[in-house]
Amino acid sequence: MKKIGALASGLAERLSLPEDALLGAAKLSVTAGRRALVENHRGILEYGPERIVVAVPRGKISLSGSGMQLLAMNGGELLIGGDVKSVEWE
Amino acid sequence: MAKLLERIKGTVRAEICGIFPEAVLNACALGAIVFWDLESVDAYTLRLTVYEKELEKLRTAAAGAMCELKILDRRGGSRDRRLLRRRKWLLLSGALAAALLALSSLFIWEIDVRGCDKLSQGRVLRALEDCGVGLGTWWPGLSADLVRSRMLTELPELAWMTVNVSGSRAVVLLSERLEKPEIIQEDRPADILAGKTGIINRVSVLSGKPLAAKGQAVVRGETLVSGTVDSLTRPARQVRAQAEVLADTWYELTAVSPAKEELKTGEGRVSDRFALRLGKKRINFYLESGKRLDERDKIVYEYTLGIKGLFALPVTLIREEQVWPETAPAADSGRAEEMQRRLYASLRESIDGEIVSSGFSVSRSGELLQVTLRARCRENIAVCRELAAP
Repeated sequence: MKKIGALASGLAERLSLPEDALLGAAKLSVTAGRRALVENHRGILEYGPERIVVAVPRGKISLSGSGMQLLAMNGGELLIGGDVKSVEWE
Repeated sequence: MAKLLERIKGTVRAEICGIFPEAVLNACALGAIVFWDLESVDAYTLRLTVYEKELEKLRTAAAGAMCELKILDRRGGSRDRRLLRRRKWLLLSGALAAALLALSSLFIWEIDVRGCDKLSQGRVLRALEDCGVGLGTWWPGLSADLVRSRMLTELPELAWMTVNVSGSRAVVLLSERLEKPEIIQEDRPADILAGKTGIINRVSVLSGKPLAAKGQAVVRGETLVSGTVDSLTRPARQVRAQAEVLADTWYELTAVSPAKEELKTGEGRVSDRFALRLGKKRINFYLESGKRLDERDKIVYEYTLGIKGLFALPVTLIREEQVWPETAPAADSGRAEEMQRRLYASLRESIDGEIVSSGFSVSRSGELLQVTLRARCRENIAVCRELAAP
């Protein structure tokens, strides 16, 4: 299964196709350190004003900062507001 | 508007406690349960707000995530409906008020006239009233075309106009007719007369027969250049006389002002009084409304019931702020100079030439300060007067 995933990933890279659209890979967009949009997430693992951890297809994203709040969320996307200081992709 | 919708739909503030309360959020996202105002109390507790109708779904999600759900607050929705059901009169009154408000918006309660330049707003409003557009007019029965045609005949100064009604507010846009410029027919015979009394300093004649010379004293209305030109070979012919006649003229202008003047130095006592305007009827909540306000300033504030620029009801609360200003006698120095300056400026504006020499005299008689300007001017006194057709 992992091989198929790696093969598809390699194919997307060779064909210059967006991996998030083709394989449902997670995509994180941070705007001016005030808003973070996570696409193709798998749910929230930890929620607090200083740390929010989001599950994504191949790991998890950990956002640290202050005054962070979940502004909107649906099955595919979630929007976080607040002062985002750092992002870790584990 | 969003708050009102929330109130109608009803909202519930809930607290979720458990080992992994984030699982409830994930279940909400998957189950399309809209939530907002998410707050983390501690590692095991989250608070959020959902619509009342989604409370059961949230309860199921919480149970599925092994969390406890506690309702903290309920707003609007079924709670309000229950309260209103018990207070039928309140509900009826509200419905009646809403119906009256809706009905009232079909009448004109505010008229905004735009585009007035020479025409006064009062005249336009009176003409509009004569055409059937006034406060309290049933606007669905109005015909803008009919009003326009009638207004154009009522006010000949209008070039075009239109009436736009939005809510209970009528906006009257108008454009005034441009005045036809005076057409000077250059070929019509004319004399040049003296427009003012004076002593002629210079005469420059372009056409016509000069009748006045340098140094001659002329009175106003005297012919300076004749449009009838004699000829040795032919009979006299008429031309349009053209000339510049510079003459020395004398002026005496006088200005009078009170010898003692008081200036405002600050605000003194302030008091408010109120009135209510219902349509055209005004109800004053004070006495002595006809008394003149000689010693006080009045600032009027009007608060109209409605939404500004969109909708207005014929109910206006008027607050009149009365201020009795503190005054102090003004200094005498400078007043006479100010009057002299104004007299000089006034003279300079009224003549077609220059002021050659001038002098002022200042006198006091009783409570009055009198300033007199005497000046000699040099100006063009030529005035054209067309000759009567033969």
